[in-house]
Amino acid sequence: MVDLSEIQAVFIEEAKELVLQFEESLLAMESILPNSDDEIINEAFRAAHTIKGSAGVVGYDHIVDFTHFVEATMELLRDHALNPCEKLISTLLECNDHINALIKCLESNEDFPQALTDAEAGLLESLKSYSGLQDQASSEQTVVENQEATQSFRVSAQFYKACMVDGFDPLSIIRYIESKGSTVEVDWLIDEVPALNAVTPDELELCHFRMQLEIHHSTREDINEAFEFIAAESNIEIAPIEDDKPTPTLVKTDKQPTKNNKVKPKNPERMMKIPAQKLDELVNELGELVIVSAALEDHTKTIRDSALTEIVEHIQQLVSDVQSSTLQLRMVQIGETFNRFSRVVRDTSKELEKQVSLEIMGAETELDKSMVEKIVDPLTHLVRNAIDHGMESPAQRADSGKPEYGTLSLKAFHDSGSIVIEISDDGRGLDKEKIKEKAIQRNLISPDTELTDKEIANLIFEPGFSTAEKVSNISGRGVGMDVVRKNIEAVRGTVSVESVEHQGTCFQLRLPLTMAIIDGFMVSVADAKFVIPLDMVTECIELPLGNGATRQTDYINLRGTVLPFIHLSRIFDLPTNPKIRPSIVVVKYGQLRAGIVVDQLLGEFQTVIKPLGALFEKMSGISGSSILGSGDIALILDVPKLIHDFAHEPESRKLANS
Amino acid sequence: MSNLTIVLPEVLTIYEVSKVAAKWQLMLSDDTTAVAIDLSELLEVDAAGFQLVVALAQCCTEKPLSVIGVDEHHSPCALWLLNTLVASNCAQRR
Amino acid sequence: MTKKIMIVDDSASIRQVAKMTLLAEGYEVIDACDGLDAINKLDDGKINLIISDLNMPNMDGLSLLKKVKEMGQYRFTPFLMLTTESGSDFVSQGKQAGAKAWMIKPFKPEKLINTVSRILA
Repeated sequence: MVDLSEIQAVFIEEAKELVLQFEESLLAMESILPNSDDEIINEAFRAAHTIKGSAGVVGYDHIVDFTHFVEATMELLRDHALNPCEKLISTLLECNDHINALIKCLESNEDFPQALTDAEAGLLESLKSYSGLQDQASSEQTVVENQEATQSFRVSAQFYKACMVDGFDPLSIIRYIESKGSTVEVDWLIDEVPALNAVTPDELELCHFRMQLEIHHSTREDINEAFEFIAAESNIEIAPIEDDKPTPTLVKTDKQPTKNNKVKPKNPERMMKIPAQKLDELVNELGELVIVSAALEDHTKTIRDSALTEIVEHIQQLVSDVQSSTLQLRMVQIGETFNRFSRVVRDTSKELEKQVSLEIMGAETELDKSMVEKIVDPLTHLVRNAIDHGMESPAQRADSGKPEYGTLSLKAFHDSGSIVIEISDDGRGLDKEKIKEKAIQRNLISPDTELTDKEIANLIFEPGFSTAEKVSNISGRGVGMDVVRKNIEAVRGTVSVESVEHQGTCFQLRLPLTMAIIDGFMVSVADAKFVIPLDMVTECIELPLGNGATRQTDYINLRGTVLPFIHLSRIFDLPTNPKIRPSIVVVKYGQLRAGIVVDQLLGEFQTVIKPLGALFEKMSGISGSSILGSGDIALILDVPKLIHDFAHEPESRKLANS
Repeated sequence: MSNLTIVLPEVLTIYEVSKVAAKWQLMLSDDTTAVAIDLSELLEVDAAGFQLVVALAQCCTEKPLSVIGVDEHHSPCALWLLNTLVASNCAQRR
Repeated sequence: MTKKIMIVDDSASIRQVAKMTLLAEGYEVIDACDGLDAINKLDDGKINLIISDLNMPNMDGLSLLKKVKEMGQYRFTPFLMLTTESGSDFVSQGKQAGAKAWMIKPFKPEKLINTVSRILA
C-alpha cells in the first residue's frame, strides 16, 4: 500500500481551492437566474467531481460519500435533466460549506463533530428532494473477497478484429490470469491467418486468430475480469470443466503479490527522462558550436573593434556556460551502478561458499553516463576476482584471526579532474613472490631486476598473466586483468593495484569525468599540433640549458625529484629543429609525473574530442582528435598511456638511483 | 529453388508489424521453398508479432518454418515463440 | 523493458496517488494535468498505456484520445478512461473513439493496480 499520509497536504490544499471554485461557480449560476450557462454549470460540476475523485483515491470515504450526491446533482444539471433554481443553488452552497467543514476537520486532525454529522443528513435529504436521487451505495467499487473454490474452465475466444489496434494483447490477458496463480494452456487457432504473400501489411495488424484456453485453478470472477475490456466486442465463451473435481482450496486472499513500498517518493524536484541519444546529439551540436565560436574569437582578434570584441567575449562566456550545463546533464550518480553489485556479490559469494559483505562509499559521486556501461564489465570482473581469489574461506579467515565475514568495498570520489573508483578487499592480498616468479618465467622482467612492491603488484596486468592454480569459471584464466586494463584504457582511464599480503588488496580505477569535450593545452612539435588535457598539466618550463641537458636527455632533476621526459618528436617521428629551444609541459597522472618535450606552447584551448578514424586507432599515445578553427587537426595526447609506456619503466628508476 | 533466412528484429510487436511485414514480403520470391527464421536477436514479441510469423508460415506450404538461433541461454520470449510455433504446427526446430 | 504509463487528470491528488502507486509497481510514469499538457509530454518514446480523466479543462479526455489516435506512433496505445459511474454516454463515445477500457472514479490504489495489470501484464 502506498503511504498516503504524505499526500494529505496536497489533497487538502487542492480541496480547499476546489471548494472556493465550486462556491464561485454556484454564485455565478445564482446571479444569472433564471438563465443558465452550460459552461458555468460544467465548471461547477468539475469542481465537485474532482473533490470526490481526489478524496476517493486518498481514502477519505466520508467525503466521497457526501460529495457523491452533490456531484450527481450537478451531473443532472449539466445534462439538463434538472433546472437550476434559487433554492437548489442555496442547498448546494450549504453542501459546499459542509464539505469545507469536513476538510477543515481533516486538516486539524479532528474527528467530525456530531453536529456536523447531524447536519449532513438534513442536507442530503434536501438534495434528494430536488434531484430525486435515491440512496445509493458508495460509488467506490468494493473489492469483494471471493471465497469461491477454484475450478477449471474452458474458454473459447474470438476477439474482435481491431482489438490489437485498440491496444489489447491477448498475451497480456493470459499473463494476467497466470499472475493470479492459475495455469493456462493455449491452443492457437490460426487457420484464418492469411498468408504473408496474399495480404497487405496492415491487414496483419488486425486479429485473425482465435484461441481456446484451458484454465486451471481459477475462478469465474478472475476470468471475467481478465476479459472484461476486450469482451465487449468479442465473442468470449467461458464454460466450467465439470470432469475435474473442483479443488476445495480457498482463493488466496491477497490477489496481487503486494510489494513493499521500496521506492521512496522522488524528491520534490521534478524529474525528466531524456532519451540518451538526444543528449548525445545535443553534446555533438554543442561541440560544433564551441569550434565555430573559437574560430569567431580568433578572427575577431584580427579586427580591432572593441565593441565587437566585447560581444564575442560575451558569446564565449555563454557558450562555456551552456557547455557546462549540458555536460552536467550527462552526469549520473555512480551509486546506481554500484547497487547492481549487491546481487553479483551475493551470487558469487554463495557460489564459492565465501562470506562477503559489500560496503559502498561515495555513491553520489557523478560520472558521465556514457562511461557507465563501459565500466560495468571490468568492475564486475574485479569484484568477482576479489571474491574468488582475494577472499579466503570463512575457515581460513577464522584461523588467521580475521572476522569470518570478509569486506569488499566499492568507493568512488573525485580527484583532480578524474573520478576514482576503488575496489578493495580485506582478503589474503597478492602473493608478491609468486607474481615475481611468474613474471620471470614469462620473461617480463629479468631475474635481477629490483622492483618496488607496487611495481610487482601491477605486473598482474600484463597479458597472459594468471597465477591462479585452478581455473575457476568465475574469473577465467589469463583473460582477466589485461582485458580489464584494456577496457579501462579504452575510456582514457587507468587501473592500478596495491596490496599488502594477508591484509588485502585495492584496485584503483581512474577515469576522466567526461569523454566529449576537453579543456586542453595546445602545443606544437614541428608542424604538428597536439592537445594535452589541461587537468593533467601542472606547469610549463623551458628546457634548462646547462646541467648537460640537451634534446637527447631523458630526464631532469626537477626540484629534487626525477622528471622523466617524453619526446613527442621521437614518438611521432617528427623533425627536430636545433634552433628552437624546447619547452617542457609537466604532466601528472595520479602519482606519476613526466615532462612532455615540445617546440612551442600555444596556450589553453577548449575543444571537442572527435573519435579517431580507423587509421589512427592503432596509434599509441593518441586518444582523439580535434578540428581547429583554422581547419587544422590537433591530436589529443593520451597522457596516461604515454606516461605508462615511456616514463614509467623500471629502467628509468634504475637510472635515477645510479 | 531457394532458401531464405529471415532474422527477426529485437522487437516485434504491433507497432512494428506493418513495416516488417512489408519488408518480409519483398524478401520472399516466387521460388522460395524453405524459410528459416533466426530468433537470436528477439527480445520482445506480442500476439501481433506472433501472428505475423504465422502468416509467414502460411506461405511456406511445402515445409514448415525452420527455427534457428534459440538455445538454453536465450531470451524467454524466443523460447516461447519457438514452442508456440511448433505447437501450432507452423515450425520445427532445425 | 519497463512499461511506461501516462496519467492525465486535473486533480493533483489523483496524479500523485496514481503516480506513486504505479511507480511502486515498477512502472515508469509521466503525469499531465490536462489533454494539452499530455500532448506536449508525448516525447516520441513509447507509451504503453494512457490513463485519462474525461472531464478536464483545456482539452478533455475525448479530444485527447482522438488526437492521440491520429499520432502515428501512438496509434496502438491502449487508453484507460476514468469516469463517473453514471457517465455512461461518455463511455460509449469513448469506446467509439477507440478507448475500450474504463475505471470508475474515485478508485482505490489496489483497483488501479488491478486494472492496469489486466492491460499490461
